[in-house]
Amino acid sequence: MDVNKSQKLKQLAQTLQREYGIHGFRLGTQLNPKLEIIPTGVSGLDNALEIGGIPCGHLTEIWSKPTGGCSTLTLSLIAQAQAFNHHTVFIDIQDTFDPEVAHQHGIDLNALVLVFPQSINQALDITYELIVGGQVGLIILGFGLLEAHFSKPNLFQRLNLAISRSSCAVICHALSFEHENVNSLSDATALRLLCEHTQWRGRHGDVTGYISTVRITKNKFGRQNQTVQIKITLEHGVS
Amino acid sequence: MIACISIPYFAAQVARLHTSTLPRPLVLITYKNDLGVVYGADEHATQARVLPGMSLNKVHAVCPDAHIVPANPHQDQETLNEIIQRLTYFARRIEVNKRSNGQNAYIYLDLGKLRPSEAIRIGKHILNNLVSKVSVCANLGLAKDKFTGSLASIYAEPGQVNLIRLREEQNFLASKPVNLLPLTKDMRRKLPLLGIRTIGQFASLPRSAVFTQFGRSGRFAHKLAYGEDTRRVALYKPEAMETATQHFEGAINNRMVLETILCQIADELSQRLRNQQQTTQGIELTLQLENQSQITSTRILGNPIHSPRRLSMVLYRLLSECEISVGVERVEVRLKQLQALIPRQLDLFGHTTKSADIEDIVVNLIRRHGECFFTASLSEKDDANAEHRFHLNVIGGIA
Repeated sequence: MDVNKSQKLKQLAQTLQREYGIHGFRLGTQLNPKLEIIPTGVSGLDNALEIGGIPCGHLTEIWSKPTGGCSTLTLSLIAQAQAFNHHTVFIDIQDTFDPEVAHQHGIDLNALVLVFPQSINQALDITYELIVGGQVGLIILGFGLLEAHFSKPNLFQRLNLAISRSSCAVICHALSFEHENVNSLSDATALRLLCEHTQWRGRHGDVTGYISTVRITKNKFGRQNQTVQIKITLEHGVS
Repeated sequence: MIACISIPYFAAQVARLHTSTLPRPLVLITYKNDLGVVYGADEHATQARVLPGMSLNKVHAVCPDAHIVPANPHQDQETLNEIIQRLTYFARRIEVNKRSNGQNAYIYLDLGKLRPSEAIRIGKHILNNLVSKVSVCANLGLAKDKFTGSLASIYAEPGQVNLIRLREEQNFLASKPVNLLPLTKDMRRKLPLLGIRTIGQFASLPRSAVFTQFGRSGRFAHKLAYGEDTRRVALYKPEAMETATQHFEGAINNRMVLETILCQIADELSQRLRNQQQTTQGIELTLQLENQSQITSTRILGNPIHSPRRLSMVLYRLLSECEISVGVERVEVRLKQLQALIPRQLDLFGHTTKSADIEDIVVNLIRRHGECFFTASLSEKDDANAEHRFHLNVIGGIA
């Protein structure tokens, strides 16, 4: 590009940024190319995601049927985020969080903030304010059991902008009996994972865990429709 | 001054230490792919040209009256460790030569700066110590470098010290066979074809020509032939391990009882590891049977462990691999490759620690949304009711 043209472009960018704010108009070179991630704790899944984990500054959805391994995967993510010194918040909308299981998965309960909101709207408000605060590294929105066709993109509209400007990873974790046709919670979701129970694992007649298949149905950073099998041990979590 | 202790017929000597009635000539064998091969032999068998790695058929052919017994490398290693432990009194830098095998063992010691007379006196003291305390007969070579020291020990009279004085290395090495140098397969084939049979002949070749012909390994061998071995003796680091042994008055034939004992041993070892903040990656189970034979089973794990449950599971697997035909008199579990319990990772990712406390994060939100922010803590009592096993503590409010 001509030197004059590039200087003119910079001047134009500065003018527009003064008018619309720094996020309103940015040159390609001003975008941060370094994507922060939080590993899932399952090396196979990290490899399949192609970026090595869950992206920060993006929304991730994890769906599953009950006993599909979704909660275990979420707990593993919290443990990994804590290992990377991120502050973590679990927003428990349907009161499904079990501290004892979380402790078994290596989560430091003293460093985890539990939020029990009264409604989804309040949960999203709190999420927004936590993201804007800029001090939290990982927020889990635990929706519990949802209808497959639950979809309120307008609820997430404000959230999407805040997430994209932050370095916080937001994970929506929801259960649904109708696995195949789940609606996306938000159009801006960067990553959507569907967990499905595949088979039980046992030893001497006792159930020691199960194998779950994780399907990547949406991935902005790599290939989609990949499946990864994860082993879930009831005492020690995912591997 | 570097001392090299060579222990000839090492495995045979160790076998005789434990069973003094073993007849001569003695050949110790080990199994590779279900075929017996020679692991070590005593002086009589070696004189009859029995060599390590030789097949059993050949042994029968070259030495028909050889007495063949199974080798016990574990026992040899224990004896070698004991010898090294005794040598730590004389030097801090002690290294076992990689060429050591069942036939010969070589140990280097860095004695530091010494006069020749002092070095000889210390050398004799070392040899006497080995004979009196470990009952092992060895030779000792003294020289300024490792290679010359090792050859000096090989050419020493049995139980004697052979000192190669400074600047006499080349004269000493010159007449020795070239095969004593660490040569590659290609060099072993080509050097006799070129008419080079002694180290002196090899040393007389120009180094550049040797490098052109044989590469880096040739240049290294040429340096050794010239008496220019600059390798240092490594610092001795004893391998950390934990051992638990259980002897039984009567032999045990019941597998359930054995598993219970292994479970107890796993508990004990796990407790020891926990006290030392360590984990283990290598587990060895040794069973001594009623018929005085030993079965050893080893497993190197992918990830280090320390919990009693995981330890006992590995031990059960090792037990199931052992083919036990008679009762067990002794069980020994050895944990190797001990590592620190919490591997500390350096900050590779340039991640800065966020200073804000949890309370600071949510303090404004509490004002707006009320007391819906908590931290959880587990109750110490193991209550049957799941809801009583933890407490929720309100952040910024009354607990």
